[in-house]
Amino acid sequence: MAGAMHEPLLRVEDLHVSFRTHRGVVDAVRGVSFQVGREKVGIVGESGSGKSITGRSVMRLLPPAAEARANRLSFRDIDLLRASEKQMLDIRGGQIGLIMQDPKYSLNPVVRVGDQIAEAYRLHRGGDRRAARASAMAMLEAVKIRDPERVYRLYPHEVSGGMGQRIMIATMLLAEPDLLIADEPTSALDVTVRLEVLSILDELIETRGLGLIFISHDLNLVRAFCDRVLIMYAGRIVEELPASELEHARHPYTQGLLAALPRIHQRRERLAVMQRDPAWLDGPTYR
Amino acid sequence: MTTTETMIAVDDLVVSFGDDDEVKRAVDGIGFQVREGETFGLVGESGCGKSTVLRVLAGLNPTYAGSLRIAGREVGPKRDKALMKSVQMVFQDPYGSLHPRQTVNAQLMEPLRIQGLDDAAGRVERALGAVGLGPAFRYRYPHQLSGGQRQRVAIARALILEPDILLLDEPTSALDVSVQAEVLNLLSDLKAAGGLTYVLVSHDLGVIAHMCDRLAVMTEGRIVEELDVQELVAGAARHPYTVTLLRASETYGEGGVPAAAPAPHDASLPEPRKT
Repeated sequence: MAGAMHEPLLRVEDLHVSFRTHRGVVDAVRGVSFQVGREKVGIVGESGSGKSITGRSVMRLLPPAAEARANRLSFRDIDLLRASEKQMLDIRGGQIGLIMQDPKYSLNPVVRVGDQIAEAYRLHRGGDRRAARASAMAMLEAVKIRDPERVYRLYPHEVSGGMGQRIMIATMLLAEPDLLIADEPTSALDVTVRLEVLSILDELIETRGLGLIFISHDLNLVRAFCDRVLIMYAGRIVEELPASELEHARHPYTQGLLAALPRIHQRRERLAVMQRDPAWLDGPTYR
Repeated sequence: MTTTETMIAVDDLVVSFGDDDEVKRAVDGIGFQVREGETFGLVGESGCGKSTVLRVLAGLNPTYAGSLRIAGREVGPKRDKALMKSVQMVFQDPYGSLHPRQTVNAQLMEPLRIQGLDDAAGRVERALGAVGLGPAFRYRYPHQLSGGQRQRVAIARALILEPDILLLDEPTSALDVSVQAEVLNLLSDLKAAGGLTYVLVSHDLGVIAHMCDRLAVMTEGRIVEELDVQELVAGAARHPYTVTLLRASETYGEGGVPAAAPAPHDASLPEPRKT
């Protein structure tokens, strides 16, 4: 695994995130460590596993009730835990892009989509309106939108989910970040549309040499799309594998997830039901 | 046409939405039959009309054209209590389909009261037992339950009237895979216990292949192909749209190697929806 990593962009060591609630402190992330270079890393887990919180911690976009601690949380040589808010404004979007699940909620509903892309350009790269518009138009073409002139003028409610997500990708890549965090980017999309969006994302990541953190609940999707997979359970990374070797997973949780999936070509009478072992909370991890 | 063992027979069903100047045919003249005891799948992508078909079957969408027969009886838009009792539905999102401020008990009692059935307490306990929830769950509120438990309550609410037909609208797509496995197993067990006919709507071919005997593939309000699940699994699907759907499901799934370049723009195929 180390061979494919080149120089790590992101280093996370012993990250803890806890939430203060009225019933006491809840530990959502408990000692997560990983590095991401110019590669595609998947973080897989079920709801509540801490996968999204891990992604948000990197962007420092946690809700006020959350507290993040780590031995190290750095992007290149920037200490993300100590960076000023001003520095973070440059990092968010400028150096690390974030794509979220549903473009319906992540695009501004009252601004034309083209103007939103251009705004991202001006915010991070400066320049005049004309340059921003030209770049936005070029980016729309890069995400394979066939009629960018027309699409530029549309409002978010006038575009489909797949096109909305391509617009999000365009917005995020325009500032030329080095790392992209995609949190369930295709979960709201139909399967055939998903295929298109992923192949566009894949091509852009390859040609621009980006690092990607792909957060998903979908083990099959991550296995096919990413180079390396981290499996999270109850706030910890319980297993790390090259995506191609997922079949040989050793942690019973990973094995359980694989067995629980209905498959088209391997029909079974019953699906395997996972017996969650309390020992998994603090038991051995496989990395 | 209709034999004794045909549970549902739909013929030339049309559902339109919108005003005079802009009518959209959500369901555009479809027909299919479901045999008693069968699990019939309706597959398609968002907007293809599959959920609308289910809503017509459930009696939730009274404006339609075409013929609908259930258990050999012609069914009109207005239904009697007995028919309502025999067709029950489970919705996609257990967070939205349960009343947040009513206990499980109150929500299970309501259909019994409407139908005027006796032994309500006994029925509630048996229904909860059937979906693997103990009597302790009777006085809980939905916010005290996990997603999987909520969906079990929703299934219990549908089953409590002892229906003949259970309509399942994406019953597991809001659930984690491990919970999905539990709910799908539960649905298989309930069916094995007897007497139920399922119509399952899903966009997930894996779920359809696991659960169904036969399926119909819908796109743009029409059924483009109807086939046995064995044919689907064996790769015997003939319509290009079914093939596209299958290929898309397999590319990122099944542990298969991703196809080098999917060809979504093949001119002979229906365009992926753009707007």
